[in-house]
Amino acid sequence: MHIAGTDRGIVFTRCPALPNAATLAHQLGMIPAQDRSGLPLSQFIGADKIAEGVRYWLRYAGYSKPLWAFGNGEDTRLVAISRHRSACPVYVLQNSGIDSTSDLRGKRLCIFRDAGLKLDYNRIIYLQTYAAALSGAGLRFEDVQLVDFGMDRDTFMRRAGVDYGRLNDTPEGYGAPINLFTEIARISVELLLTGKVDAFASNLPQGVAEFLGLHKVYDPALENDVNAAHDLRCLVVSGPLARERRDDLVAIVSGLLRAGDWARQSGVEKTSQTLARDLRVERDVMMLDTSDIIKGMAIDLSPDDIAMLEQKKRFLIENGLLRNDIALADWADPTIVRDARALANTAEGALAS
Amino acid sequence: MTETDAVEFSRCHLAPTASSLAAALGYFDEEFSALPDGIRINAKLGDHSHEGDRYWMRHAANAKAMWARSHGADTRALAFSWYESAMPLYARCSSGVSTPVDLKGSRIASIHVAGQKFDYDRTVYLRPFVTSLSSAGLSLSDVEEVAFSVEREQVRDGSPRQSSFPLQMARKQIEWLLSGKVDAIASILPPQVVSFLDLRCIYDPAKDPDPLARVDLRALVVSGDALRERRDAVVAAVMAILRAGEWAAQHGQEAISLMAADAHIPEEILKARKLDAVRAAQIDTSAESISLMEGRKDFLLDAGVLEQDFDLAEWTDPSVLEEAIVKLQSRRGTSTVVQRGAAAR
Repeated sequence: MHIAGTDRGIVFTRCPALPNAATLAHQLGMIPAQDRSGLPLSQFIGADKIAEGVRYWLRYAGYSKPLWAFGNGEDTRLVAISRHRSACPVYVLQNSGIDSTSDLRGKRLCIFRDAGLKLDYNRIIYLQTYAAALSGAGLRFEDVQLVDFGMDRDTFMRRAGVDYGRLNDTPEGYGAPINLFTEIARISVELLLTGKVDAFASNLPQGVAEFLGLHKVYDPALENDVNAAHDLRCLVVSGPLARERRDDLVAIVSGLLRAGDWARQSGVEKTSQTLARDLRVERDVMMLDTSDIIKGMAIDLSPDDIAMLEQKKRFLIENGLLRNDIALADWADPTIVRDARALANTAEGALAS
Repeated sequence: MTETDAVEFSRCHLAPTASSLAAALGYFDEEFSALPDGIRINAKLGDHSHEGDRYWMRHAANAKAMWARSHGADTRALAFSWYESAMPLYARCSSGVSTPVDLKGSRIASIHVAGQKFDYDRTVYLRPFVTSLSSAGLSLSDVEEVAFSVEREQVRDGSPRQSSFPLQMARKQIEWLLSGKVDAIASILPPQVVSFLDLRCIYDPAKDPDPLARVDLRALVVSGDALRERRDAVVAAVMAILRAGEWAAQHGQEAISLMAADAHIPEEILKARKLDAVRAAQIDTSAESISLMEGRKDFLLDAGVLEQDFDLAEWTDPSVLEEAIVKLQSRRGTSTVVQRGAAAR
């Protein structure tokens, strides 16, 4: 897709489903409207296809797709990571005889599949949960039966009232009653209640789980292993942007850092309302898949972050989702965040935002 | 006197009444302790059929009592209390069923509880379909009843339940609806569940202008032997219930809490049902109540639940309620003419 007026400008896209620092920074006006030479910086919430063909771009979204793309030769740099405590529990029916994760052996676990994607990044979210649940009981995917299910996206978007490919087309503040993950959860519940599967992984409203008599057989909130309980979201930029317009990039990232600071000072209520406004979704729906919203707004690229991404990468490789191993050190550029922090701490940083 | 000489008084554990309050407030104990030596009443909570009991009273739903009466049971109805209990109907949003008219030709669940002489629950789950169909000029003959046989555990003495029968039925029906076995279900579902499962309310009896669609009076019924041979005890029980109704009129919010606690029902459920605790706590034999009971009886006859008719006026005995009101007034030093059918308010 070619975006008029962006041949020299910068395009910044962000995930339409899950909140991150770019979601917040946009709402707070902390991302500059133009670069240092006065060229436009266009922001879009939606699919990364929006930036196809654009030379200078940034995207803040889940980690798996940019990792996979870099592994396939895409010229990008990893600039920042945020950790999100957003893993899903695994539910079964009460009195199903499945009382612990070891009882999942031989059972049918449903999992979302989007056959139209080269990399099924949403499926990976659930795969991670199952892997963590099973490994705790000494089980592997070979010990269970994964039951794929899909979704009619047109029906889903009609129900939600938004087009997640271009969420910009929907007015800010519109509160969709569902999002992709609640729809996946709804289909999963249906499969469980109708006896087609024995367990599913999803976040559910507590009242719904209780009323339907569902039992958590695995809860990542109780998990000691932070890798199992956390998901990563990444700020990835095009190679030309990192190489040719570093100052502009630093200015943008300083805005994201300041947004994270704002979240820490403003608290959960204010932050979550601001994020939900940007995502055009009801706050409670958004919060279902986010249990520590403030921490998720903090970006960094520390050795610990890289180590966690390394584990996620290993997971993708072991499960055949990433064919080419990559050296994360070659991909990551921690100097941007470092310099952006320095800028954010100056008056110029405040002005730039 | 032996234990079998005691009057067994039971109250429903699913539909709170003034009897729930009378028990919770200790009014039964107070009134029963004032009875002559040797006269005893045992107040109980739950599913009690009173088979084998000679002296008994029960404050609960009316259908089983009417069915028994239609089969010649030696019982009398002493009073009735207000209860709005009918369930909304739900269909999947993805289905073509969005109003009662759309029910024509659809499949609905007909729930049968196995092993019971009288299948009370069938009437409960069928009634909203009948009233909704009626509102669209249709009847049960326009839909396909899909029979489901379920088990219902008898609950006695109000022990806390992990899941009540209505909740179990809600879960079952959701399963039947989602698996395509039926096209519509009758159940009280939390709005969050309705939204999450993408269901649509196609009929809500609470919004039906016809009270017969939304009201299902509770009946205070007594065995003939208790009425004839233990009248003082029966009157004492009714006095306790009347006092509970008076208390509720002054303590609406607390009444809901006490009713919920007595029946071990989460308070949120009663609030979700929009229980009018004050009204539900009053008993009477008013013309309005008798008319509603007549309508209810006609429904049960039309649905084939009652095989034979009976005389409702003959079954109803307002004299005990009147006597209880006079005694309460006398105790307080007040004296007014007791209107037949009116409760002491």
